[in-house]
Amino acid sequence: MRDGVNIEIIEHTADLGLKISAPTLSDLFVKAASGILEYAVGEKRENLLRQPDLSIEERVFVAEEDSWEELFLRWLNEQLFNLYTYNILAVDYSLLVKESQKKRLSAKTRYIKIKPEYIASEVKAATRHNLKIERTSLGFKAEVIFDL
Amino acid sequence: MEKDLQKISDYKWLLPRSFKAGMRVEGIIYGDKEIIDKAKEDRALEQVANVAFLPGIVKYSLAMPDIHWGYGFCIGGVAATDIEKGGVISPGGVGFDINCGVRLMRTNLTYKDIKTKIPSLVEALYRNIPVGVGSSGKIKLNSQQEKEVMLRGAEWAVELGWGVESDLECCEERGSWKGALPEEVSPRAYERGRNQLGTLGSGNHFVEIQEVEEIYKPEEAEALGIFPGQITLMLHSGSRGFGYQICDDFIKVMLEAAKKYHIYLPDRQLACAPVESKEAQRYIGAMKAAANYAWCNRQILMHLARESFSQVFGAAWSSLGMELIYDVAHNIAKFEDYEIEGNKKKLCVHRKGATRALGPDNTLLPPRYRSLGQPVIIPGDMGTASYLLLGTKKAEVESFSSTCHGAGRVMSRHKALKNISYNVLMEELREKDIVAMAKGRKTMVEEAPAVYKNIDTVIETVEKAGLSQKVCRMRPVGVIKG
Repeated sequence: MRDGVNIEIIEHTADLGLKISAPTLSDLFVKAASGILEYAVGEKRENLLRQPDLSIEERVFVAEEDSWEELFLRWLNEQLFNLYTYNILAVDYSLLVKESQKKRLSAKTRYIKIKPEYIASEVKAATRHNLKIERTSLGFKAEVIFDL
Repeated sequence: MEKDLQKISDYKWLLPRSFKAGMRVEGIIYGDKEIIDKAKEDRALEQVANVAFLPGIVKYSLAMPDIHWGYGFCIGGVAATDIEKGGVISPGGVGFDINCGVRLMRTNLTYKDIKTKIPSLVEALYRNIPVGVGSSGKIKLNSQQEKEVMLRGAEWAVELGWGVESDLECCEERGSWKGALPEEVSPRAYERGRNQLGTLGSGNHFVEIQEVEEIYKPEEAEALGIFPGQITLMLHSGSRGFGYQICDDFIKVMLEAAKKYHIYLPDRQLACAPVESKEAQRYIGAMKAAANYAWCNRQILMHLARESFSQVFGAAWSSLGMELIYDVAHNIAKFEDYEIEGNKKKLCVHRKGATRALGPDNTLLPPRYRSLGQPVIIPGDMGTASYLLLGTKKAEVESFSSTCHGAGRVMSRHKALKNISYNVLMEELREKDIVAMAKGRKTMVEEAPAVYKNIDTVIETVEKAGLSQKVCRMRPVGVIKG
């Protein structure tokens, strides 16, 4: 991860908000995904990576949307879907985001298989409430609220 | 902007249309001054205002006293739209956990009977009921079985032996809503739903053994089979990943529909379409499928709880008097008739963290409750109390037969993790003779009593406002959580 990538929690009474800033859109997408997955697996993440019988798989995800926000949301919900449906946790990402007629994301992600009991918290979905991605002088920033 | 909130009574406040340009109707918030002051601290009032933008909204955008910041709708939000006048349905007004709800069972046991057995009962519940986030149950459905669940809900479970016919009578829609459309459910939702039936989940979902501590309406309590010192069992769960996926799939559909029907959205999470549109009809079919999944889930969870008691007491659950009192939904959109300005109207009533509370004589109620009104089940927190109430006729006029759904959070999960110690919390529960088991310490801390409003205040508000009448208060004695 490059310098200038930052993530902080937005206080939300019922749910969880994340505010992410990064020099590039790719970094922004990666940091948001790793941030919410860290919340989901809690402090066990490092232990999970040290499992002796680590089963690793690589998946490709390609998506196009009219806006960066929709693409961002789809990407985050893909990670949550994989975690809660297949119990696979994204640990390494290679992302390419491109803007032509539509906003496009191609991602190659490495996942590790984890035991379901290692998942500490349920995140139902990333929501569109107050969802935003903005350009800043240092790159990009995003805000997203997750339903817990 | 808060200065615009106007007091109507000690328990009712008006949010005028001037609060935010574009509101089609005013907002009404139920709460005492403390509840209202708390609501001003986050973005809940703005969400009440945003809901007032929905096309076809009738009378008011409402919020119950457990109001707090959600996404799209506030939690505790109620909105009814007039279907004939282009009224909309919004998946965000139902939520991700479609038909999340609570059910309450009575027993013929007293606290004295079970006092020494509470640890064994909690262990048995914890052993028999799959809890936690990644939990998958013992039931693995193939696609055909999943379709059956979507179409038949709790009825499917009862047919397979997870319950008895009389359970169905005590569920809204008999736990089996007609008109579900499995063909509108995406392959991803099928996949998420396959292994999660009969699982509790995490977060605020729970199973609780309770003791009836105080009775406020003896006659009504007796009619509901409730007596002082009695043991009851309450459980809270929903449609699990199956419902989350359906909501996510259809918000996207509704965003396109909103563009097509020229609907302005102050918050994209409120994406919606006219109820009579093709897009809405597709969503309604999928929502009903998820609602049936949730009823089936709670039916199976209740059966597992009955089996747990049966194992500990070495007796058939029926001999322990474990009968369902009622099952309520609190994340749903329903189609109900109301009189509006002298005309009978079919309305689409969204309840996002709100409970239906039908008054006496309502024909939607099963015969056994028609003279009483609908049993309304309101959980508090794991260290304080929960309530059983009855719906009122006044609620039909005031709040589209709606009341609160819980205590309502006041502290974020993040703050809870920073400020509350797991060990101190468990000690506090032990001091109150509450036995608790959870899969994760994190969930326990995030759901500690201190993160919720005082349930007694919330219940007092709905009673004083006439939205429901309390029958009894129950204190927790055993808790399991994910």
